[in-house]
Amino acid sequence: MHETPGRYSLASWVLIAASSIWLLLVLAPPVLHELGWNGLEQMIRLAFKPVCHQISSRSPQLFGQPTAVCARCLGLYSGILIGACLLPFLRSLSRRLLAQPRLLLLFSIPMFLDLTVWKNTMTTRWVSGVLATFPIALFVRLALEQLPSSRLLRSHK
Amino acid sequence: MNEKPNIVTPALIGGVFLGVTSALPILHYINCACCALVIGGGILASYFYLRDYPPQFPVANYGDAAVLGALTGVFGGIIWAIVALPLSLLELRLGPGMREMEQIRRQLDNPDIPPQVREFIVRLMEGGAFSLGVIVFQLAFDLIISVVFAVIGAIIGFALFQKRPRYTPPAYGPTPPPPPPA
Repeated sequence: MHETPGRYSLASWVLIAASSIWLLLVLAPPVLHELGWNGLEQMIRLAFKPVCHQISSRSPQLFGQPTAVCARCLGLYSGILIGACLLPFLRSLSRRLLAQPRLLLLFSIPMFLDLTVWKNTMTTRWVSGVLATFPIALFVRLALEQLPSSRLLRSHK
Repeated sequence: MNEKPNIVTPALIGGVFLGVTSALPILHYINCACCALVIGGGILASYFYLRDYPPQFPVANYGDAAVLGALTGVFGGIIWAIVALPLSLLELRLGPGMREMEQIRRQLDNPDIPPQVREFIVRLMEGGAFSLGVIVFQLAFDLIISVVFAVIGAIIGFALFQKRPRYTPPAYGPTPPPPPPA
C-alpha cells in the first residue's frame, strides 16, 4: 500500500482525482456562464459561499467572469493537487516532513506574511496558498493509506 | 486491547465548535480565511482525542485522524444546519431573502434565458420552493464542506499534537553491531 518512490500509490490517485474534481468545480462557473447554464453556475457559486468571500476583484477571471473562489483559496486547493502530484518524487522532503510533521507550520509562513507584511497581488496570494497546503497532501495521502488499518473502523471483538 | 479509544466526545466538541461558529451571523465570515472555523473544529477534535488517548493503546495513525475528522464534520454539519436553518428562514421572512429573490427576478428578464427555463424558475419561486430549495441545497453542501475540511483539520491536528513517533524514516547504511554482553 505504501508508495514506491517516484510512483503513485492507489491513495495518491484517489487524492489526485478528488482534488482535481474539487478544482474543476471551482473553475466551472465562468465556463458555465459562457455556455449560458446560469442556474448551475449560480448553484456552484452558492455552494462555495460559506468558505470564501468571493470578491470579484480578488478572484482570477476566466472569460471575463470570476472563479467560484478567490485567488488565495484557489491556491490552497491547487496546493493539495500539486502536492499529491509532486511529493512522491520529492523523497527527502517527504521523509523530513514525516519525521517532523510540525514543519507544516513553516510552509504557511509565506501566507501569513502575504496577509500582513507586503502589498499582495493575485500571484502572491495564489503562490502563498499553494505553499501552505502543498505539504498537507502528504499527510492526507498517508491518512488514505492508513485508513483500512484504523482501529476506529474495526468492530469490537 | 479489545477496546477502542473514545472518538465520540472529541468529535462532538469539534463538531459543536465548527457547527455553531459557522452558522452564526458575522462570526461565520471567519470561514472566508481558509475555512478556518471548520479546519479549527477538526484540529480541536484531534487535540482532545490525542490528549485523552490511552497510553497503553497502539499509536494512533493518520487513518484514525481521517475517521475522527469525518465524524467531527458530520456532527458539525448537522449542528450547522440546526443553527443555520431557523436563522435562514428568519432572514428570508425579514428581508434580505426577499431582496435576493427580487434580484433573481430581474436577472430573469435577460432575453438569453430560454422561456421554458424562465417559466420553470418563476413557478418554483412563486411556490416558495425556490428559496427553500436553495436553503436545503446550501445546507447539504455545508455538510460536504464540513466533512472535507474537518478531515483535513484533524489530519493537521494529528501532525501538530501527536507526541509519540508515528513514522520511522528508513535507516540507511550498515546496521550497528549489538552491544557486547555484560
